[in-house]
Amino acid sequence: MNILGQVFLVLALIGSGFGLVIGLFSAIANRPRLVRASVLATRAVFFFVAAAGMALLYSLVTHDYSNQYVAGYTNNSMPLFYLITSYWGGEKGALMTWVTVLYALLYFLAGRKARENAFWGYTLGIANITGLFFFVIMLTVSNPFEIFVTFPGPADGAGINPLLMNPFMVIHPPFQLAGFVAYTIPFAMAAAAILTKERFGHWEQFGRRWMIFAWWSLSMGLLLGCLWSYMELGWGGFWGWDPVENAALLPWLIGTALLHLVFVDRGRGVFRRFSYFLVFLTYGMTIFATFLTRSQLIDSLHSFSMSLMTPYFLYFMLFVAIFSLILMVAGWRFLKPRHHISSLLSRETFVLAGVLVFLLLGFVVLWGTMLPKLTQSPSIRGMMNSLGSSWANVIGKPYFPLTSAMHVGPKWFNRIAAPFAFLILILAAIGPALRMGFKPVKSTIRRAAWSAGLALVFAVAISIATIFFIASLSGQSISVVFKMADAKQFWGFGVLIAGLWVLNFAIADLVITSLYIKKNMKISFFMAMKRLIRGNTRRYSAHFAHSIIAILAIGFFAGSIGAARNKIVLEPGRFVEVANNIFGFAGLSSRFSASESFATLTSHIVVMPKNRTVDPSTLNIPNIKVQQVDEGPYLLIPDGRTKPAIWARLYAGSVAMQDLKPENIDRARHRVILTAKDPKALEVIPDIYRRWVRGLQAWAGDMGRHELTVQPGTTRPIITLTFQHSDVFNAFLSGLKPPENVFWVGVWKDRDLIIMVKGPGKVLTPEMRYYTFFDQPTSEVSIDLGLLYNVYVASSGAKGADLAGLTILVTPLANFIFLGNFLLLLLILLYWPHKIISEPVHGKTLKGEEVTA
Amino acid sequence: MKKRLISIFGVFALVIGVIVVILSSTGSGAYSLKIKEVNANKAELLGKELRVSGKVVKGSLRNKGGGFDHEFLLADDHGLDLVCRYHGALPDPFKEGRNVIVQGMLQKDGSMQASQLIVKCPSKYVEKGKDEASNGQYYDKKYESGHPKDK
Repeated sequence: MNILGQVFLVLALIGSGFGLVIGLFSAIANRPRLVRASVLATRAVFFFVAAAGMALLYSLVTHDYSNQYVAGYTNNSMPLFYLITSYWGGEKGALMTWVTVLYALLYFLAGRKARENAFWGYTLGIANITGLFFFVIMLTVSNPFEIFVTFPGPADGAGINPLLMNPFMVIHPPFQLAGFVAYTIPFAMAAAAILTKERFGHWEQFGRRWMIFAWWSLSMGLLLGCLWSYMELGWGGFWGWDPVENAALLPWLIGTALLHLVFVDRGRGVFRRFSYFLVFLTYGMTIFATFLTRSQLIDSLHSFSMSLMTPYFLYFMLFVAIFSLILMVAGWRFLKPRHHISSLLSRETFVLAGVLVFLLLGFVVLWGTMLPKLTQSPSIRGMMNSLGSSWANVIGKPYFPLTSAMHVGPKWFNRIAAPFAFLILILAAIGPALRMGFKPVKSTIRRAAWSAGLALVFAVAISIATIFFIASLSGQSISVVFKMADAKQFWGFGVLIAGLWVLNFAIADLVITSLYIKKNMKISFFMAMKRLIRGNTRRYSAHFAHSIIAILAIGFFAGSIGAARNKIVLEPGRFVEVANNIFGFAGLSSRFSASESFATLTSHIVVMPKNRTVDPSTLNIPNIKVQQVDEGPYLLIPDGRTKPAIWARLYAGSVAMQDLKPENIDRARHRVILTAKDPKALEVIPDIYRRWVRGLQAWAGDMGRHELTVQPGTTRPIITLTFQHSDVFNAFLSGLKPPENVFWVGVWKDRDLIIMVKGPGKVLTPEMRYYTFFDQPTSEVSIDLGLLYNVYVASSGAKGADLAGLTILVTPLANFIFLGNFLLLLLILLYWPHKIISEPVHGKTLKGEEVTA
Repeated sequence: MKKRLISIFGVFALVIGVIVVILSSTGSGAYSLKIKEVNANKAELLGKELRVSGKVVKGSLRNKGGGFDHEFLLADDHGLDLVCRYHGALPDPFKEGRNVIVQGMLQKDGSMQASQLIVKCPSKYVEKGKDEASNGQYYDKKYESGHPKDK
């Protein structure tokens, strides 16, 4: 299979080389009919790549460990689903995915639209350059079909990092990669358009949808990455400004600028130079991002292994930069704008302003990411020092010159990004309401002003309500949450208002304009609204798209200003209050998952709103007085020693409920032999049996005379417990089936019995997972996705002890991010089919842009 | 005229923006230093945000009170070391013997209070500096005594 895959890769290399040469030749030598040959070659490459891909999949699924990639990223215990997704799990697989997606896209591109002219010759030729580059890498330094030479391969593979075994992580890379790859097509088309002087059309005409697809896919990729970070990494954040994350953000920022420029230009040629420049820049950024991710140039949290393909990417990046530069210079005069912005109060002006903000934000991300590398050079430090000291002179503050390399972290990024986000949201709110090319008519301005004003009033009101909500949630006073002197809170609040303004503006614009049409045309409100949306698809699509971004921004910033966090170590039976919720730690249990081969230390946490009480009558045990413990989710039986039978019954239940089970019961000698419920879990985490023994010892000590012997075994420790008194023994036996409403039982202040009752509150079960094939534990967080706030608990249990280190996080409005992600998924449906959006319009303006004006 | 005005304004805004960004980055941030440099300038660096990379010395990781207060020794290749403290859950990949980057403030007692620990996450199974070929040798060694399939 590996040899077959290899052969297909070589065929693909030859095919792409052929497509490249013949495509360029047909264009340069003016043999338009030869374009067909290039089309055929390109489409053939798709089949070769698909065949190679199938070969790799086959090797992955059949555990062919003679293949180094298969041995390095999978193992025998991985479920089929993850075996398949290992296709893009490692570097070699990512390359494979890259070419698979590229040629799938090129297959469609070459088939449907390709005509026999120089434009398509160049396009296919240039797109195949990227393909060829990847095939060369795959056949030289990073071959997915490389086999072990000296021996037939291990019996079991190394397996994948369990952190990556998460549904979000599984679909994140394909989206991200597809986003990167799809920008190849606009790039090739833009280059072709300049080379043919737009004789056969400009790139936007054919490349628009590809650009939309690329942007959408990249956005999805980034967001899924955020969700993965939140769900899997255990620090509770969505975005950490890590170099790898930043690298992926760069093409998105430039790509967003490009998208807007193209949308607003609609082929009129107002921003010709600018949009060509941005196509080249976006494509360059996708290569740069890959380079940065793989090169370990910058120390990063998830830096990948040092890769041999780094120099290749460096040269390819240089090639793309020089090629683009030559094209821009050669086409500079030809790319003179055909039209100019006619009014300052037009959509174009606002889009242009937005594009500048995005470019600047791109610079922020690039600068902040590269700073550790840049400041290694004394001359750059010198430049920064002279700039810094002259500014320090102006404002009269002392300046500390940089003497070593420097690193800026999330604090800096967040501080800078917040005003940018604010500015972008403001522009995003107003932009769609304005007209293209023209100054708006007076009545439009009046209506827009009404919409804006109303929207602002609502936005401010809702924001203030949100602040009150956040304050009440975290139990702080308003003045603490609403510290305007604190730049973080100030801008966070600003972004909140701006985001809500975008949402409200979109609604107000729709409602007020519909009311206006209703009045003028004497039709029903819904008819008016329907007409309005039909006649102004772009405007309301833009409102919708911007609303999604606003929802995301609100989610991110509400979390950043309002999240309540606590890191604490708890013993069983103790609780802590975070953001008006009581978090009670019940205890630890262990289990083994055979399908994914890991053992867990599971912390059982009961979360309950602060002022809820536990009803003592829920614990239906006669003849004892039960009361609630402070504000915790527990009930208390005061001074349990006086009633050993009840003690025995309840506590034995809790022990049995956790990890032990009786194997042999000898009624005559009052003896019970206990073993592990889940011996496999014990095999992976041998320390946990010490916890059981300690628990039993503590309990039995309270019960009176007994004998406890332990035969530790690596797989099956045998714990023998012999009682002297039959009543305790009988109580113990009856306790092995615990009362149904008891969740956990423990000792309170060395005296009383504490019982956690099922019912009030929710149970969260964060885990530490110990994989059999992986040498470090991973934490699996537990999240309660509430409507208004998310409760998030990550735990790090101590193997042999009962303690749990908890990271508790209450994040307001975090679900806005999930909601935004879902809406974004739908966005492509809105932008894909519309002919009026995908077809460029020639001429100065579009008629019927606003039916009402 | 209008067009020129817009371009000039746009370029002006960009340049100002770039300068502001660069300026703001000079004042805030952590200095990347080697352990040698930290040890030589402890007095000057007191209270400054630092970023030091090194290896967690084997056997040096202490956990105070079984909880979130950790202490370990960070060492470089020349045998110089630095005491680091960290409050919080250790990142999953954090282990003795691993290369880590510690970011935090230098304390009066000469130790470093870390606010962030960055562990080179072996995101892929291949350890740093090991390419697939040497990984192959790893397998060779592991199954030196003969491949299970052969027996």
